This record gives sequence, structure tokens and C-alpha cells, in this order.
Amino acid sequence: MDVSTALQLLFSGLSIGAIYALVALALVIPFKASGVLNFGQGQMVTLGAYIALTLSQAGLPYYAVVPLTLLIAGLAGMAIERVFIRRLVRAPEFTIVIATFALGLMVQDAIRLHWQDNDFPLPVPFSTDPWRFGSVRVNPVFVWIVLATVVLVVVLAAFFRHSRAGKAMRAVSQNQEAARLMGISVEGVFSATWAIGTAIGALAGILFAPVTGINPGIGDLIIKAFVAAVIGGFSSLPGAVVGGLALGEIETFSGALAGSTLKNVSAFVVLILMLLVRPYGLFGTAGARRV
Amino acid sequence: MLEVTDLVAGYGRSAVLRGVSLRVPAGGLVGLLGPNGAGKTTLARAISGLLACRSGSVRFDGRPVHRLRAQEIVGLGLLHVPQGRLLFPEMTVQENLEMGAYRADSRAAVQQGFDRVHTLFPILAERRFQLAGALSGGQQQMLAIGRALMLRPRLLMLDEPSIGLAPLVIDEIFAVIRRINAEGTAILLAEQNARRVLALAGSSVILESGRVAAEGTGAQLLADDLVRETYLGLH
Ligand SMILES: Nc1ncnc2c1ncn2[C@@H]1O[C@H](COP(=O)(O)OP(=O)(O)OP(=O)(O)O)[C@@H](O)[C@H]1O
Ligand SMILES: [Mg+2]
Repeated sequence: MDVSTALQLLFSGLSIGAIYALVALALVIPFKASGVLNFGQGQMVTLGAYIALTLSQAGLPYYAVVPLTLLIAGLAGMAIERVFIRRLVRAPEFTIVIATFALGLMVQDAIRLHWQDNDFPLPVPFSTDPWRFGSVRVNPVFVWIVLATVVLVVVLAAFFRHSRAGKAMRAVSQNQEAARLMGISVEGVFSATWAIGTAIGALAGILFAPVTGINPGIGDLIIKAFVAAVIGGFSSLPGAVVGGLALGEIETFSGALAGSTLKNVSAFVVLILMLLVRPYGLFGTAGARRV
Repeated sequence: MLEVTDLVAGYGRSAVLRGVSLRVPAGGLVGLLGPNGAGKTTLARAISGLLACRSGSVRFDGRPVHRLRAQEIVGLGLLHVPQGRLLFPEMTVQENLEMGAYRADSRAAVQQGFDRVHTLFPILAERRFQLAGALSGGQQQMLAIGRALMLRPRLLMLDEPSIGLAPLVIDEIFAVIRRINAEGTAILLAEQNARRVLALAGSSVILESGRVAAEGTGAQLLADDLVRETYLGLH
């Protein structure tokens, strides 16, 4: 393999890895705060893509579609937490797993009923002709994915580190009772983290749409996000990002070197190796909680 | 200031507290004594709203608070330093204190809180960028108390602040408790360490199996041989 091919693979691995990282973050953030793992998170990615599609077909420009979609998806996440999850917090873990799973299937089936299994494009406001750097070709869509992910990760890091609300979310994830004793509304934090989770999932859907087209299966990448989150330790946000990027690279390179069959199983090979060697992931600690 | 009347509370179906009444006067320091499992922690949790009250009432400044949620009760100035401290272990000392000032209405109030806590516990100023989980037991207890003092509580409930600490550290913590009380904050102090509490408290209540077994000033309780031997383990 020559250098320019390697660079090109490195970059496409980075951009697919960025998508995995986003969805892994969308899983881990509400999980850390509320202890509930959203098994319907993949369909939140799908939902985000279709919200964007609807807004786009209604004639809104891309730069309005993106923030509006995040807002609508965030509100949907908040509603799901309020209406379903909050009633289940004391239920057995398996019940919650099934409930989030079922909710995801309902969303997906509703989408399938309305739009069928068609593929829709999501137009982007820039030319998708590849940029050439010598013999390396870079797709602007991938550049946009990486850029948007970097911005999101930086904003999230600053939010959790410096803002009052972000610190309250960390406090709730570390000790719920103590958080209540500080006057923090734990229920409010739960809804907020669900809003953030679904909004990030929707962003992943928007960013991924130009690569695959919008279809009801776009959220199936959730499996990869799970693997990424496990690699990262499932309780660490930097871990989710590193896990996502690592998985993107591993998949891309194994696909290029050994064909697409290996590409598809590589995620699971990595997962199993990881669980054997470091059961708590790269960044995880033994104190993992529910589900 | 705090008035608990016939309080019944517990976990699951069994009642741990079976009709407890006590009062803490404004500016007072009341001891809450009793053996392991007597219900001291349960009482503190029921007062601060972490645990639902089944019957009876809790009034703070005459206002019933037993139907309020924990985060609402805090806003009234009734603060609970729980047994086991319940710090945020992966946050720094400073961030833990900031959480204590979560409801502050101005930056000035937060700054005042830091000044006050750093005056009472200078070690917390020194350690401000350390993670709370990395502190020694005594420092963790100081942080737990400091966190509750950030917004000038009117009543502070301390649950076993001396547990597991060396005598010198306990001296230091009790000195601060005395000082906070002298500065006007009412205190309800749950402890197994009867001797120290009786020396400090204006009056004390002894819990036994979820009921008040005896109450009175330190002198009164110590003068009663039955109380001394059965409940206080003093001879
Ligand atoms: N979370 C819980 N679930 C069920 N029962 C509990 C729980 N916490 C305490 N209990 C029971 O309630 C009773 C009173 O416990 P509590 O912790 O209030 O006592 P305490 O006076 O604070 O004791 P200690 O001095 O050991 O702190 C005990 O019998 C205990 O077993
Ligand atoms: Mg106790």
C-alpha cells in the first residue's frame, strides 16, 4: 500500500469513526446520568435523518435544517424520558431494556410506513467533488463530518467542564442523592441528558445521510456505536470518542487489506478481544452501573 | 425552628421510625443519639426529603415540609450532611463546593461561600484542585460539611461526622461545629459518640428502635443511671 492510499484510508476511517464516536456519545451521556441505556438510540439517528429530510423537503436551507433538527430531536428525547423512561426508573433493568428497544422499533416502523424503504438524498450546500492534494483525494462530505464532530466534542467538553448545568449532570452521575441534597433537580438532569443524547444521535444521522442516503436502516450503525462505547469503557466520554475513531480506522483498514467480509466482522473481533484483554474498556472502571 | 411530630417512615413495608417527635430551637444545637440501627440516619433522611414520610409531620419555621422534595427543602436553608459524606468523588474540591452553591442567586454569594468555607477549613483552599475521592477521611468530612455551608444554611443536620476519624481530627471537626453554631446556624447532630455530643449539645434525644427513649440536657441524661448504661454505654 502506498502512502497516498494509506492517507486516504486514514481519513475515511477517521470520518466513519467520527460518526461512531457521535453515536457512542449519544449512548453514554444519558446512560451515565440516568443509568438507563437507550437500546432505541439507533432509531433516534434514523429519526434525526428523517426530520432533516422533512425540513429540507419543506424548502429550508441546510444551515437552518441542522439546528432545527437538533432542537426537534432534543425535544423528542426529552419527551421520551418524561413520558416513558421516568415511569420505569424503578422497574427491573430488563423491563427498561425492552421498553427502549420497543420504542425504537415503533419509531422505525412508523418511518417505514410513511416513507417506505426508499433512499432519499439529503442535499448539502457545498460541492461534493473530491478535493485533490497531490494524489490524495478527499471528499468534502468527510471533511464536514470530521469538522462538525470536532466542534461538537469541544463544545461538549467545555459544557461538562465549565458550565453550571454540565457540572450538575456530572454530579448526578456520581451521586444522585448528594445531587438532590445540593438542590439539583435530578429529574431535570435526566431529561436534559436524554435531550442531548437524541440531539447528538440526530446530528450523526444528518452527517451520515450524504454518505449512505436516508433510508430506514441508517440507524443500524448503532451496533458499531455499542462496540465503540464498550472499547471506551462505557462510562467515559473521551473513551467513547477514542473508541469510535479506533473502530472506524480498524474497519476501514481491515476492509482495504482483506476485503469487505473481514471489514464487517472486524468490529466484533475487536469487541471480543477487548472484552478478553480489558473487560472495562480503555477508559472504564469496574464500577459500571445498571443494564 | 425544626419541629418533627409523630414521624413514621421506613424502607419497603417495615417502618423504621415509629412515631418520633423532636424540636430544634433557632440557633440551638440538639444531639441525636442512639445505638446502631436505632434510626438516626433514617430520621435525617426523612427530614431532608430523601425518604418519604408515611405519617406525622416535619415543620421548618412553622411551614410543613414533609411533602416537599429534597431539592426544594434545601432551598429553605435546611441542609443535610449525610452519613458516608456522599461527595462527588470525580470532581475537584472546588467543584464539590460549587455544587454546594448550586442554588446561589449571584456570583457574590458563591464567593462569600468560598471565603467562609476556606476560613473554617483552610486545608480545602490548599487542596482545591484535587479530586474529592483522593482526600483523606477527615478532609472528606470537612468537604462534606463545607459543601453544605456554601449558602449559609439556617439549620444543618450532620449525620455521624466523626465516624472512622482519628481523635485529633474529630476535635477539629467538633470545634468547627461549635463555631458554626455560635455564628447562628442551628444544628441537629446525629452521633454514636455520646460523650462528645452531650458536652456540646444544649439538649439531646436518644433514639432506640425507632422511638424516642429519653431526652433532656446532657446533665439530665447523665444523671439517669438507666439511660447512662442502657443507651449511652457509659459507666
Ligand atoms: N436502605 C435501607 N433499606 C432497608 N432497611 C434499611 C435501610 N437503611 C437502613 N435500614 C434499616 O433501618 C434501621 C435503622 O437504620 P439507620 O441507618 O437509620 O440507623 P442509625 O441509627 O443511623 O444507625 P448507625 O448508627 O449504624 O448509622 C436498621 O434496622 C437498618 O437495618
Ligand atoms: Mg446512621
